[in-house]
Amino acid sequence: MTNPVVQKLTNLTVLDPAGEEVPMASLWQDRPVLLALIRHFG
Amino acid sequence: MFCKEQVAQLRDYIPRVHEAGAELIVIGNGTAEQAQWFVEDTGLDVPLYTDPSLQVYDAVEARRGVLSSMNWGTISAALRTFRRGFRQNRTMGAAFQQGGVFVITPGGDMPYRYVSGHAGDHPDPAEPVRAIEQFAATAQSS
Repeated sequence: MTNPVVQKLTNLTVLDPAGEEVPMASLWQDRPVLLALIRHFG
Repeated sequence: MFCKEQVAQLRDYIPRVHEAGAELIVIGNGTAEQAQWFVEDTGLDVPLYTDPSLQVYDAVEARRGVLSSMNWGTISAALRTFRRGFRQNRTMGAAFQQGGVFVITPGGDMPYRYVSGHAGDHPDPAEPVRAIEQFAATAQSS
């Protein structure tokens, strides 16, 4: 069963550095990921 | 400077992450242009994305606020980071947003979750990497 936090993330999108929208769910579709959320770029 | 320190620490573990058939993904919260600058400045060679809406941060229940950004834990972490040679550039993103580290599997499980309590509060990268290696070992034997 999907983790409830992962379930929330699944419906969200992020931007790549080119400004293109990427569905969050595609990030771990094919392999496990270590996701590091950093505070800011600086 | 905390972010650069964290990325530098994580970078050392990239070979182990890849060996386990996984990927390290970094998410920040500035603009796409700032994300591009960060990639060039750090020389980061793993996927990097940005979440200017902070919806991803909210979904993982990351902390946000002045108190989580400025407290004794932060001062102590700042001294540690400064001694290691990291310096703060202009803040590009939400100044009072904290982060975290998570492991997510293709099946939608989250075997590792660390929500930062304050600025500079990062887990030992070996912890999430071990979670990934355990997942890989279990997946291989089943």
